[in-house]
Amino acid sequence: MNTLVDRLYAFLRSLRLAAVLLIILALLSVAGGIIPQGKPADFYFSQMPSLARLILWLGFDRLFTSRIFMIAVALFTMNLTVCTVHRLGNELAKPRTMRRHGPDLLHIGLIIIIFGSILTSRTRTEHFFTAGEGQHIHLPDRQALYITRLEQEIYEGGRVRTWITEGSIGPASVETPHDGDMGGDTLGEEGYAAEAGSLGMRMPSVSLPAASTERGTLSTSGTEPNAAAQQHIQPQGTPVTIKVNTPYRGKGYTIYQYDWKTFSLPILADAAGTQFVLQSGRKVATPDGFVLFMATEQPPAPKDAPVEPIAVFLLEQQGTRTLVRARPGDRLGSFLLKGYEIRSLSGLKIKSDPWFPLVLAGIIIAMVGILLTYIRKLKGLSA
Amino acid sequence: MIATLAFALLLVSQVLQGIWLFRRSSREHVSPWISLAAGLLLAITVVQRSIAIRFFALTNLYESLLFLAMLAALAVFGLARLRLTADSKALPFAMNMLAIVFLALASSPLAPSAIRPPVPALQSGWLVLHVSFTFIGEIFFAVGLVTAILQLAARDEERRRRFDRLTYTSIAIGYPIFTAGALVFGAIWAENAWGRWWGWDPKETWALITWLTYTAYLHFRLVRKNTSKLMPMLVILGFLIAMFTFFGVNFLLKGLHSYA
Repeated sequence: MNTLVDRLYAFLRSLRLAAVLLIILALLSVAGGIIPQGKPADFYFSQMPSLARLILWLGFDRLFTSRIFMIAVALFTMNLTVCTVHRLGNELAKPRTMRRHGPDLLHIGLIIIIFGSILTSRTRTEHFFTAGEGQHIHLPDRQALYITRLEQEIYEGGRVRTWITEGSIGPASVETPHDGDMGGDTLGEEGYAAEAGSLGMRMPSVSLPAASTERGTLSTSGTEPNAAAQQHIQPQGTPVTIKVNTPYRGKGYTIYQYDWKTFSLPILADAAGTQFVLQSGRKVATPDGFVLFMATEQPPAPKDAPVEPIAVFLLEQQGTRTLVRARPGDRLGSFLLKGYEIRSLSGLKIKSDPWFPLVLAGIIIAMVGILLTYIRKLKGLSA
Repeated sequence: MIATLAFALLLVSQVLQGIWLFRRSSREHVSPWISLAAGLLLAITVVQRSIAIRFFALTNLYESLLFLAMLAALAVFGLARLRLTADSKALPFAMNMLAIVFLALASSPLAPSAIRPPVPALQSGWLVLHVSFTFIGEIFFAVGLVTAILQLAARDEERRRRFDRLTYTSIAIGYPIFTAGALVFGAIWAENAWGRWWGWDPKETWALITWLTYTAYLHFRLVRKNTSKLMPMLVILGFLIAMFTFFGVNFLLKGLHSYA
């Protein structure tokens, strides 16, 4: 009774097919490991002109979501499923003491991982934020994370030890520049413009608490401070501490300490001793013009060595504008650059991945299967 | 200084094993102990660095190479204790050579030896499990590599079978350890640190290729038993890919693992 179905079944449960598919998956992965992934078409034409058309035609610019790779994975999953069902049937027919379920568990675990990863890739959401002390971020469960304290721990040599974001989670109530519905893309579209972060992730830009702040009181720079961001709200809520490698796990989401940005704001003092902290693009008036802070520059220095930045100002005096690079102690018209105020922004990632527990279950089952399989085999070899 | 002493001891052990290769005696009693001493000295270096950085010293290429050299040196002793050196004198010779190569690479400019504390993402117990299990698995793969080469070079069927059995045993031990280290603990660490358990980062992709190659070997062996040359060649290929994953990806391909 060698029907087409029988032959198809025999083909699909073939160990030889499994081995060949593994090799094919490995070869495709090699291609994906060598060809830069996710680049625009121009990149392939400029970097590998002879192969660009083929790469794009095969979809190898996004190999791991390409049709070829998906077909190989689908075939492998079918092979794995048929093998597992067939093998499980055979094992269950044996007396209990003779059964070996290690490979079955390994295969079931792998099938769960494959299906779990498809589900997570379709349902997981990620949002990236940068926020400072006193700001808050809306969370998926209608709560908000109110950031009360940011701390960057540094080793003696100047290398970063860890980043810590402290705050509390409570009901979302106050409108801020971050307000939006976490369920949609509102937030992402609002601020995903700026390239930021050492890991190359896109972060939303955040306006700083004040445009130009006289120490202790608001400044007279002519620009209203950002009232929403200025609020230091500390509602009653659950205190949370988020560190690198120690994410906060909420109901249906997790918050990761993902990145950190530290920047220096120049402190200018006038003749009367009044101090002003300037943000980039903001200015303070002088009797014959203004001083506008543009940016800071990092002078060349050994890696990880602490170094004081150079502040770049646009100085206007009697209608003449000049670009001035200043260090602490330098004069800028009637002002003195006293030093810098260090501010930090915490880069947070809020992830929701409802199917990850399924992947985790698959990993655990597969590991148990591997251990059972090879412990048994090794016992057999040593016998 | 201690690592240099370990290197010298490994060279002495290598010379003794080189002499032993051309002698008739079936056992060489001194060199495994010298390799053990070298391995222990390297372990002391790892502990010293760990104390200095207040974390397990497995956070850069230099420390990884020290750890691998330590494992290879200890493997020489282990193989001698298990009497596996009676099967082939080339086995401890090659493993000792591997330890020397790892140490030589550690002293090259490619692997700066400056003691630097780990960056935030590396301060995780999962990282220690991830790296240490991966390397332990790879040392078993290295044993498999040597026996696979010997299997290909063997002239009589009996020796081929014996080497095939050794190859299979070493891969069968290394495979679950490597799987746990490179893929499982790595995924858990990535999930904890960056909120994604798999990201097709070049290192992840190449670790998967290594795993697929050894998985294919284990499946082919079920089908073809030990008569085919394909299987030892897969084991050799698997180790080359594992080493590319370790070194090549670091220097040729950019990704989240570029510090490793």
